[in-house]
Amino acid sequence: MSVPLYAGSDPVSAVLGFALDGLSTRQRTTADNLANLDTPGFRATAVDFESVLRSAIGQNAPGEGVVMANRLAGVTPETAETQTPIGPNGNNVDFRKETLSAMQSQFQYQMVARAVTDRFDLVTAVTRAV
Amino acid sequence: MSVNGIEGLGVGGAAFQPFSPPSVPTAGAGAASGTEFGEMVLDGLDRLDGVQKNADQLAVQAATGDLQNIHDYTIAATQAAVTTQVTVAVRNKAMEAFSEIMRMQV
Amino acid sequence: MGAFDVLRIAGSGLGMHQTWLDTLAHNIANANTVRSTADDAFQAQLLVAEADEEGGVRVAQIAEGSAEGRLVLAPDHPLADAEGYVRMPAMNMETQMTDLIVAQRGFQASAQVTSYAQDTYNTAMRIGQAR
Repeated sequence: MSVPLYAGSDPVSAVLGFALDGLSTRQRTTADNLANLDTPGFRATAVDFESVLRSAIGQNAPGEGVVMANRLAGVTPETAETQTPIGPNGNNVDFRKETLSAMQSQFQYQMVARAVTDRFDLVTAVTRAV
Repeated sequence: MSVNGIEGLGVGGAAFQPFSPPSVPTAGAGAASGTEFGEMVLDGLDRLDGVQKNADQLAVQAATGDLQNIHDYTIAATQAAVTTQVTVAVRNKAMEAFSEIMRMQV
Repeated sequence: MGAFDVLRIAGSGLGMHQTWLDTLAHNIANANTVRSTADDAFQAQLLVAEADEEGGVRVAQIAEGSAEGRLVLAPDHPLADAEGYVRMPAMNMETQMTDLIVAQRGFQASAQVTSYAQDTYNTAMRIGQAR
């Protein structure tokens, strides 16, 4: 299994990188669900990376700040079937839920990406001025 | 200077008070000695560290989905960036001043 | 995420009004559904909404209208009973049509909230940029 890009970086970068991976997987899953809006028998799936991320961070000693990067190396987001009502043709895609999820994960992605950029900018600001 | 008769004017029944500018607290005696400046710089670095850690904390909250408001993170990030720039500028000026002093012919 | 609560709440508004529109369309389509007196009349669906404690709205229940309906004299109708009566739905068409307009406005209002929320999020994310 290939080593993720963020392994070996500082803890906060690892967390942000993991979140970006999880969010892009979620967006792909949402697109898949929406494409299969009318497919008979199709069951929608949802990605959950927040819970695994929270529990990985939680294993930390208090005051230590953030999880160490190597604890994230074996961690993957969970994919599960959504618990939405199943229609007459066996399809359980909820159009509104998927659309809102797409909107929200897009904003969340923008925010985490901005966090990554901001942290790099801090380093750049110091090195450029010296 | 007092202006008679103006005491009758007032807002909400309170008498009119002539304006007096706020007094600036005088700097401590013997300020700008070497150690005080050094302490100031170290305080600044501590504060910068705290501001950066705060921004990191909120970024992690955004990643785990526990952030309450988007502006909480963006304001903290802006604070960290601006504080970093100020700290770097202070350091640069201090270095310039030091170099200039060392260059002075005695 | 707490930051995106507005989206979730607006989404619940969209969902409830969509369901309401579905029930109204169902009622209007069946305004002239005739049943024999041996069966129940077509029962109009009445949507009951309730507020969600965590913000937003949800459908509490979809109640059914009168099963008796209106007895209408139509001796030539194939479903007419021995006295020539059939059952028509007991439904006020005017109420259904005005409800349709109200439901549509409600849906548009929640859609507008979604749009405003997106603008707000974009503004919040631009704080401190382009310096």
